[in-house]
Amino acid sequence: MEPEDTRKPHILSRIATGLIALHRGTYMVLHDALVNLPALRIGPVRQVLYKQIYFTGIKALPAIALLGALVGIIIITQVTDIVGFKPVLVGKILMWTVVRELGPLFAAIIVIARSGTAIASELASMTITGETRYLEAMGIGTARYMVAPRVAGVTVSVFVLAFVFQLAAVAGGVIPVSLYADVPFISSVLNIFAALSIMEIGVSLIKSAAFGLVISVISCYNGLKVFSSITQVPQATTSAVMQSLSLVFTMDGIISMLYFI
Amino acid sequence: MIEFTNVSVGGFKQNLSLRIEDGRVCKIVIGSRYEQRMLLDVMLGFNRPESGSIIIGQTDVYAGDPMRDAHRRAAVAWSDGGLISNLSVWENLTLPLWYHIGDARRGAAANPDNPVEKIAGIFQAMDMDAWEFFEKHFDRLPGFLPPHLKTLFGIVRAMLMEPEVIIYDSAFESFSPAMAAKIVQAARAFHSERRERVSLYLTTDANSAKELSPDIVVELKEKGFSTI
Repeated sequence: MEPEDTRKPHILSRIATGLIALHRGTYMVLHDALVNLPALRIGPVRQVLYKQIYFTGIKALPAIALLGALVGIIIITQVTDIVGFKPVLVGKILMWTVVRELGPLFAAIIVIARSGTAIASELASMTITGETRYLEAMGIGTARYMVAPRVAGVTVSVFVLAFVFQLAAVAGGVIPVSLYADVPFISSVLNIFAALSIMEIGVSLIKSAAFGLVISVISCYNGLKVFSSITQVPQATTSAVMQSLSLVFTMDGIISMLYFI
Repeated sequence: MIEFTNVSVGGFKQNLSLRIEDGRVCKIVIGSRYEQRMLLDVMLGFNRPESGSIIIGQTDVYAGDPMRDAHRRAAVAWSDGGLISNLSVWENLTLPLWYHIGDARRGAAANPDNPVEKIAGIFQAMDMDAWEFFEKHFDRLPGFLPPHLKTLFGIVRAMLMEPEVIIYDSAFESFSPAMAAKIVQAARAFHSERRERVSLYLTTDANSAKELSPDIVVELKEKGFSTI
């Protein structure tokens, strides 16, 4: 029997080391992003912010609106099928599911799929091809120029996309009800909004912003942690997606438990 | 001025000393690309030496945060151009100017409000038509450019920063002899624009950039710098 290789760390030890590195790395990226937010007043940094909002937010608007409308229709159809047509109850269920959970969550998932991957692969490629080095030689810090505007852009975008998703879902739910159940549109909308409190809207918006922050920080961290090999680019992208998804769902669970239970 | 005083870099060289006075054009011939990269990294603040000091311009590179105000010490014309892939050529050229607009307002760099004039002047010094480049290339991403144009725009960007010290990282070697001669001519003209300006050419090829007519040619050997 071969002797056990004691030099190879135990799998639990490797997982623990990985989690510590992730925690430390993301904290540093978050810190750098927040400290360098005033750099957004510098022209080229602001340009990166605008580009990020354009690609993450504006270009995702049609997809998120369509998705929101479809989700609204599905929820209304399923709920009506289960409980019968009770406008107040149906409105409440639509509001609770969409505003409390699905809006921020769907916006986050779409942004992870579209922009989290893009940010991680772009930053990783720039690091590997030495572009971060060229920037620093010109006195342009990576945290200021590459991280801060991306974090700000993604956070703002998720916030707005979640709100658009919620509006589209409500519209998608209300319009078929008004059309087929002969309930006036205004009355349907009022029923739905009556189920909402300011606190719920506030929690939903805070959640969206927190998701945006987490996605952008993790994507930047994974993009910048690569070292020299091009094979690290897809690895960085995959890690960014998996870590963002895990953290978004974990945070969603924690926030929901803290507020709603 | 560039001054190395007893610089030792782990796994690279020991006790390197060299002084290049203000106003000089210097060529350093280095044994390999790896060593050239190491030397450049040490000069730019990317790789802290184990001992000794490096002064570029008026500042000790490693006295404080080496990356702080790196653009004020020197500008580098990289061999591959050093352009940023997600910015157009125009954005690449003007990026350092716009980013350090405060410097420009203090008169330390080209006026970012009208870089066109300065860029046109640099192309003119190279005996090239700036407008042709404006029309053909300035809104393109660097990925669509041939290698020699990337290097050319990298040189223009370095010159636009109006540095006291300009470092050419094997920057004339990707051009045809005729084009290299034009660029070297512009580099000479750029050098003489400021009395204290230092132009440093790093290369692994002893025969390159001869037209630059360097005041000093130094070889980096096992035991350190030696004048040729």
